[in-house]
Amino acid sequence: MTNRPYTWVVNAGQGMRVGDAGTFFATMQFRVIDTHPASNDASQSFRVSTLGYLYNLEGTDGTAAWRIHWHRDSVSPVTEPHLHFPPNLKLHYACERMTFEIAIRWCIEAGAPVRHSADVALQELAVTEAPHLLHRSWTSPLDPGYLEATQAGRP
Amino acid sequence: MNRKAACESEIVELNEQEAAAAFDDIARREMGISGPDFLCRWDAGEWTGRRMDDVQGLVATWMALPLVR
Repeated sequence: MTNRPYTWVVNAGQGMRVGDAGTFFATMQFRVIDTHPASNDASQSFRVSTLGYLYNLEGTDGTAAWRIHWHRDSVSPVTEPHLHFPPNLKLHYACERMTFEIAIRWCIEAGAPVRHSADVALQELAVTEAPHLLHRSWTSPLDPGYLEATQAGRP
Repeated sequence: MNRKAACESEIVELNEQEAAAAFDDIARREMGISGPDFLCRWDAGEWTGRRMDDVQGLVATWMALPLVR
């Protein structure tokens, strides 16, 4: 494994139409880190560390409904997790670390269609999110793991 | 009650050429400039110290930077 950053982008940046809720955009930067199997209870030889994320929901008229951002390694002076809401999208509302599952949950709450029912979808999200919540090294930028996680292995 | 969703998803791993094309698409859509143009302006420090969210499309384009670097 290398320490280089990778990214995943939903629909190559074109977003995903989520019914009447609008269009959901999601991108995450991450890196893959070698680790010793004995160092973790899952006996894995690598782990994934998030470097930044962007989860945006735009209404059907193209206006922003909300934006969930963390761009720690960017040139911006705002480096901690934050939210944007209309009408003033330039305001940064500081928050704890947000997950992809939270963004999807917010889409569902905004009316995004689901395969079965909202209750089932929310349960599946909780199951999907649980390992991350269990193993992540930080939740708040005030946590000791934050600096370590965001500075270790930086180019 | 939410409408029922009827869609499938897949994970597509891009090769170097595809990743460069995807980055170019994202830069053009988000900022109205080409991918190579973004890289030149990024390297020149055009947005250094700016609040990224104040520049239309900059966060989304920056987030995709690992596609080409």
